[in-house]
Amino acid sequence: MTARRIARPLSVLLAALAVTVTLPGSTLAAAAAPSPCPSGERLQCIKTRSATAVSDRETTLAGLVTIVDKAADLTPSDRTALLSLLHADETGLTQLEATIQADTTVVKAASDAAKIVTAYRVYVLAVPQVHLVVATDRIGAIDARLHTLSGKLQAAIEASRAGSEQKAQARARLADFDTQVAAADRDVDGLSSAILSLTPAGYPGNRTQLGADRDRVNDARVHLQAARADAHAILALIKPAT
Amino acid sequence: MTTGSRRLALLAATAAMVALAGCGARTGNPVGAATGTPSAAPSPAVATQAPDPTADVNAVDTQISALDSEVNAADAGMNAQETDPAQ
Repeated sequence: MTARRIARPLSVLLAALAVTVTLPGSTLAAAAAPSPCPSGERLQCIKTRSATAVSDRETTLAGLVTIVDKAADLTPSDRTALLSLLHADETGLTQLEATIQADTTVVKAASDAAKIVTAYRVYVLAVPQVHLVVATDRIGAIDARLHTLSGKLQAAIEASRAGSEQKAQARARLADFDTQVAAADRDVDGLSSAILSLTPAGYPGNRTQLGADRDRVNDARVHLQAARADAHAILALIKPAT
Repeated sequence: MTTGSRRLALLAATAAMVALAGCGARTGNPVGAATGTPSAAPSPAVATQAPDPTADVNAVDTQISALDSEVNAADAGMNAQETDPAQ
């Protein structure tokens, strides 16, 4: 086996590990099924596990706040809405954790501990909400850039010294470019508001809606990728012969 | 000074003023514009040249790559499972 054959699987493994580590919050921890609490130590066990569960979620929420802070394309209203949602979750979880640690019965502690999941849905709702809203606004920013680019491509086609056949092909690609950009526009119209309206109380019923919203983002992404391919094709068609 | 010579002097003075006024007109602002640097006006070749959109296309490439990361991260969240800590 050559060094390259060894290096490639290794790089794939390292990339997979990197993705796991950089996921906001502990998706793996969230997915791991815990063993049952021993009956004689149930109250303390619930408190310990709750402390860990809250701490993990607070780490995830802090990571999401950083993502929102750094997302250059977020609209001001979406940024405000996301930060409000995340900070409310942080505050609520901190208060809930204090309540659980003060609980004196297993029944009350178990009931409160369940709210760590049901009242916040940090991993399954807040995480996708943040990423999808950031993606939606990024699509909006890309669309704006592509609208401007359309005019530049048009001017470049007409000013180029390419042959008439190349120019005709470039104009056809530009027409498709404009169609793709318009389709991406439609895909994300009103989308961030729809995503932000989803609440933990509506979960898992609103999971279908979340999936549909995710599909709209992906559709827009496909249209943008097609527009990008058109733009590259146009540049190749009108490139001066060297 | 005779009337004739006075007329001659007046005529010469008038001619000198007209000449000076003419020089002034040529050296005033309008003249400055007329004699401005010819290179300030764009040459026909430059005026018809379209800006190169390559940099804009490359910038879009970068933004779309970042978009891919966002969608993948959203998918990871949607596929996650949350378990009750009390169980």
